[in-house]
Amino acid sequence: MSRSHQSRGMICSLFSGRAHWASAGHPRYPLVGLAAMCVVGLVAALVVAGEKAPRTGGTLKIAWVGEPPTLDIHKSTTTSTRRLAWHMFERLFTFDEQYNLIPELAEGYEVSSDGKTYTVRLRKGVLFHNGNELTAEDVIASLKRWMDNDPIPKNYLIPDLEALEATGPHAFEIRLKQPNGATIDFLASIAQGPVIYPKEVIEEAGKDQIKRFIGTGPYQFVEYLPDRHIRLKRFDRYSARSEAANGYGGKRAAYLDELIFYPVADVAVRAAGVEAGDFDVAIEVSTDDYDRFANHPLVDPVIAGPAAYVVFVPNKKSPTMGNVKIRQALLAAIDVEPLMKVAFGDQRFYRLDCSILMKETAWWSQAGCELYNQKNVQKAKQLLQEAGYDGTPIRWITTQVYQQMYKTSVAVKSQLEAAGFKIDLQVLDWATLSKKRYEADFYDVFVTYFTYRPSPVLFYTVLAKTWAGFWDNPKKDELIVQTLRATDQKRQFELWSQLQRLIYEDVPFVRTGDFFDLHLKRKEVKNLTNKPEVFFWNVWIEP
Amino acid sequence: MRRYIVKRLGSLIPVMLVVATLVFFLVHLTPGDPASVILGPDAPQEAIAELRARLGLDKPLPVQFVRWFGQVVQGDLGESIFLRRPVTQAIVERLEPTLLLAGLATLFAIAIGVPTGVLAAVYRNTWVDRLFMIIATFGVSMPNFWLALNLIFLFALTLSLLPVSGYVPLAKDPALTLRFLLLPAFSLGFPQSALIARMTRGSMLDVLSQDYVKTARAKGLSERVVIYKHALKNTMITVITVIGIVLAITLSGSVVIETIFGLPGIGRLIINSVLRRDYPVIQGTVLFVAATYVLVNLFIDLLYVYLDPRIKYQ
Repeated sequence: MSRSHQSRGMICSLFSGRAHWASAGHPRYPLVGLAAMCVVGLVAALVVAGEKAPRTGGTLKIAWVGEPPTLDIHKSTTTSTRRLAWHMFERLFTFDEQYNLIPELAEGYEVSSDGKTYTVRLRKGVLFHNGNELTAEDVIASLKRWMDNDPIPKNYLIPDLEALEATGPHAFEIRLKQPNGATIDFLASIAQGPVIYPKEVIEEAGKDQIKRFIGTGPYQFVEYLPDRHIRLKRFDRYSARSEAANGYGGKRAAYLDELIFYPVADVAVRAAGVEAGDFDVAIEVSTDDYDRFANHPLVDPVIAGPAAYVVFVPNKKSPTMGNVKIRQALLAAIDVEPLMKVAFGDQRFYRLDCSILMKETAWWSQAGCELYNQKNVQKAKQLLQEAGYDGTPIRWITTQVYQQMYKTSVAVKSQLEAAGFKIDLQVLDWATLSKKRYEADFYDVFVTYFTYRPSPVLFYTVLAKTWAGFWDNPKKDELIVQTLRATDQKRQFELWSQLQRLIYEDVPFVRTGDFFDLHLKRKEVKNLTNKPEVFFWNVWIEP
Repeated sequence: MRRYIVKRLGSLIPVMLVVATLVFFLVHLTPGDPASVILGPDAPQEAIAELRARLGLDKPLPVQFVRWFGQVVQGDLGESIFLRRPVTQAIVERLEPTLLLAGLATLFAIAIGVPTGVLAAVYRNTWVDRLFMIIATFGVSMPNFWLALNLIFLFALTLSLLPVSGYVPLAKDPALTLRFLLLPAFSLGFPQSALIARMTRGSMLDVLSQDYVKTARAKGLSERVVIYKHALKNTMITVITVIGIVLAITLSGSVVIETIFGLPGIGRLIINSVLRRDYPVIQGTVLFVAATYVLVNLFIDLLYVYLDPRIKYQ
């Protein structure tokens, strides 16, 4: 079933890719007709596949990767936080199957002709879990708190913002000093995104984390027992959208009575739990075991993604990596395929791609791609010579907490040493690494990964000069500003491509290939997503 | 006797002071901080700095130490950064699985270790002795996580007899609690039973060569009475010492076993707190573990008196 979905999805994405360009300007939705065709196609695929109607009831037990540091999405960029908490909390906009913006809590929006005023209409009759109706007051309070916390709007929206005001119980205005073409994209941000909490919850939290978990989502909070489980139950008065489910948006149905998330740190135990029937779903299991899962009579493996790509981030303040020629040598020397093989094994779980934003989005660009995956040892050697590299060991910090980061680091070491680099590989735990990468004199390169981001603005955090690696480049800043000013999508795309080219020329980081996650589910669990961000609305259990 | 106990309990104070000081500085000198863990991988430095300030982590270390130490002396271990509850409460909440696991694991260790040790000694230098001691050497050298994963594979996956991981509180369903605990307790207890078996054998051999055993045999007592009544009881001093160590090890929370089997106990609390740099919890649990060690040892010392009336504490 998931295969037919996938191929159908690709055809749809071809369609809407074109639709996207045709509909340049505001509002940025794909042509309705084509979208409708895709929906019809999907429904047809379901019928052909002989899928039974969804069933209501049952408890879904989920072996989760680990304890989320918090359930307050405004307060954290971690995947574990948002993928769990977004069953309870919703945003104004989200992304559809092809990563186009679609409304979620919003009904729609209008932009004034000068591009400086956005009027967003809210859906009426949406209830919070405490029974109160969602109003513009809650939205304004939530957006203000989110802007205070998330560096993306702080850096790229607030400077343009004149006012954020309710214009009625179900509408509000974003007034800008100058046009900002990414305004709605910000509102759809997934990581540390602008989810809507009730105003009183925000007021009671002050500067701290929220104390009560009340949202508008299909599931509501029941209990959180640290290291034991987090339990959510169906919100009976949930107001779902009327459109069919589409990507992260459309109709969300809570078919299950309860969702229970168990933090299970050990990857083998997560998988074994599903095989033995203790859990219904396990998130991120080992790709090495794919064949065994595929042949198992009671479970199905689900390849989801693309999840992310591993990046090597040179420290632009270090004496060696501060030199752009040495960074270019790093880029030239790398042969991506062997790294991916070492880290992910089977080709089903990775693919090579040079685009900074992923293939499935409208932002997929080939700019600068001749500099990706060069495998050019000679060129690297020459660049090192020109740079006067004297063999000073490159302090390369990585972590075993995320095996992909560790394995790719080990594999790339020999490639780089063949080109004349001397690599001093240092393994730290994640908490240490994520702190040390802000200490400019501690390291020369660190390893991390960039998760899937459907829009350039959601990528800007890691381009900021305050972010680890310290990329200070006036041309980059200029391009970012220009991209924000552009309101026409074609122009935005051109500017983003120029920015991507700059990334390949100035090498603030080196991208490897995209990788996919492997989830495991019992066969009776139906309709589990294969999208990068996992969710359990629209999932049901066939008894 | 009473004075002895009071004295021993009093010795807890300097131990705890040293442990408290050591753990505070070790933990705080370790790189990494809770703010960057809470905010996640993409967080910029200014956000991390702001949260650090709100958590009071930007103050000089001595200032933080004095503040924390002042609380500890008053019996307040502080508030967890992540769990949003007092550290004492967090520890108490996790006592049940750890206590049950430790008890059951020690029981396994004794039930397997003592009889095999005795038999190996009685049949020394025969195939029984060699077989048991080979198994024991294997048991001591085997990492318990390896044993655990194999047990999961056999009993949970292949035979589907026991659950893979998880926990149900005793109050909810005692039978189910036991089912969840069997595999972890065995994984934890079996390697310890090897230690007990080796110590029992060694000590038993010592005792069996003593004059009073010869006397007992010369009196015409049956071999069973000689071994179980005369010899074994005198072996117990050594064995009890080992059991004490085993109990202390298992009580202080088995980090690995609790993680693999998803038991929400002290071990999980420690490892998770370390990974997310939840300073107050790490400090609190380490103090708790240190106190456990001291108290278990005291208990064992008192047990000696019961086992061997010749022992007197002044």
